[in-house]
Order: sequence, then C-alpha cells, then structure tokens
Amino acid sequence: MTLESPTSNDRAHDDLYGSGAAHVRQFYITYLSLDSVIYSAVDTSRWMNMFHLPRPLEVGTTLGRNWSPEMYRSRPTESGDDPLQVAVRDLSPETTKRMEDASAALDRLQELPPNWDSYGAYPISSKSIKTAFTIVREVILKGAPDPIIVPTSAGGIQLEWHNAKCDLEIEVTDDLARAFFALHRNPEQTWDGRLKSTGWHLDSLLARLQ
Amino acid sequence: MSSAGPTATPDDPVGVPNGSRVYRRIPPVWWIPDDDGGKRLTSAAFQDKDGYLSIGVGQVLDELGLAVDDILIGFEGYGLAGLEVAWIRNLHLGVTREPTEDEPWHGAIWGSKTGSVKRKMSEEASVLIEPSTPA
Repeated sequence: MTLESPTSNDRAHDDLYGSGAAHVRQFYITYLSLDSVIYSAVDTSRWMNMFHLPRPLEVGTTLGRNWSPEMYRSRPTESGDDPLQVAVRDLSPETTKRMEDASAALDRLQELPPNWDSYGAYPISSKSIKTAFTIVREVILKGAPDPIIVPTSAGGIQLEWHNAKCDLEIEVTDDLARAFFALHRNPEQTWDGRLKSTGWHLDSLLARLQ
Repeated sequence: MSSAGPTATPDDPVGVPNGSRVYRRIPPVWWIPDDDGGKRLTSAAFQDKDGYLSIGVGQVLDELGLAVDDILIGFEGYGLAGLEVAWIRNLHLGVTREPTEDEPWHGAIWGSKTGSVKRKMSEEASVLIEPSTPA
C-alpha cells in the first residue's frame, strides 16, 4: 500500500481528535526498524530546519542505518520552549505484523469488483482505505484490539469492535469518519456522530474496549 | 410510490403491507466473527447507497409465485437476511416497491439510518441462509 502523508487525512484526524494541538504539537514517525519503510509521516518539509532532517520524510521512505532516531527529535527553541514533540518509537514484531495484516486486509477490499454487494455497490475508494489505515494504525499504536474491517456499499469501510461491554463502529467514507458507540448498561447508553463535535475522542472509546 | 409530502420519507403501506417481510442478500464479507466463535451480521449490511437500502419485497415474491431463495439465483455464496416490515416502520423508516428489469421484486427502505438504526437492523434480522465463509 502506498500511503500519502496523513495531512491529506486532516478532516478525519480532526474528527477523531479535535483540531489543533494534537496533530501540531505531537506526531508519530513510525517505522519498523532502521532499515524499514516509514508507515506514516507528517509533512516534515517545514520542520527541516528545526529537526536534523537531511530531507523531508515521506511515507515510503526507507530509513537507512545512518538515519538514527535521534535525528528526528526536536530541538528546544531559543525561548526554551519545545513547541514540537516528535515521538519516535520502535514497533515490536507483533505490532508490525498487526499493521501489515491490517494493511493487507484493506488492500483486499480494494480488489472487490463493482457491484460486489449485488445491489450496485461502489468499489472501495482509495481515500477510504487510506483514512481507515490511518485510524487502524492509531488504534494499534494505542494498544487497542484489532478491528473487524468490512466494506460498505457506498464505497467506504467500517471498523468494528464488539465485546461484552460495548460495541464500537467507525464508518469511514473517503476522508470522513463517523462513529457509533454503545455501552451495554441497563439502560444501554449510545452515542452516534462525528467525534469532534461532541468532545468524544477515539481514546476514550477505545479505552472501553480494553 | 406514495408519500405524504415532498419531504416525507417515501412509504407504501399498501404495496408493502406491515404483515409481510423483506429480504436482503448478504455477501460473505458482511458475515463477521462474533464473541462466541460464531458469526454475526455486520451493521454495514444495512447502510444506504444513494439514499436508500435495496431489498427484496416478500409480498411481490408471493404475487409472482416465487420462493424467497429465488432472490439468490445467480449469487453463489451469498446469504439471505429477512426483516418484518412492521418492525422496520416502527423505526420511522419507509418501505416501497422499486422494481427493476432484472428484479421485479426489488424494493427500498427509506429514511435515516444512523449507526444505532443499522445496529438494530443487524440484530433484528433473521439470517435465513448463511453466506459462505470467505476463503
């Protein structure tokens, strides 16, 4: 899978986390090892002077042995602030495999032929796949369980988690993400909508799944 | 199709009476694992495409002398789920006949299908024929 910079998924990101600080002050550069391919990278061209970047990081960039993670750590500004924090983390083999499995599952959806649901379903859009992978990657990095991944007739993707305590479903259509959450209580509590608009965040929903 | 006004949800209680059922084909990708090692129907099976949800109208099948599983002819590996029309209307959804050249029994479920509504439909639907398990 070739992924664009998550900047192309800002709308979905904002839906999930709210706009502003979350993706400005901290972001992840994830990689499998120093020799492996970057799964996600923000547009780092504007940070090149602030970080010791020999060139902008792009998804698909292969990290060579000379590319130490230290190169991507932020430096304090003159005022002593540290306005940007880059979290660099190694991924365990298990995490790597989960990401690869999710990526493969999403890629398989792109192979669905037109009318795959027998009612004129649209092919799954590449935008939906990219947005879904952005979310799944975050889910995996946060240590939450893997979602069930299913296609929707509108050309989108639904990510689902179900357990004895709750159901969580995130419907992705192109770069928009909408969530439904049900907490199994008596009476049951449900929430339905774009996460940003109500202050619900992906973290709080995923925490219920643990 | 009849409706109460230009903005009302389309509904046809005469052509699709409350005492009847409607059916929807289920491709294998919508037959997902459940907590108990079995399978369940994903709510994605009840998401609209282009503003409505396609179904097969049981009343029309009866009128044509067709069996319910005739809906699956030509769709190997697909399953079939059924819902009672009265139950659908209790969700403030409308049901109409929308025949096509290939499927004279084709109909549509109209109205807003939020995550909550889709989940209710997936839980209420009876799976008459299970889809084949994807390879």
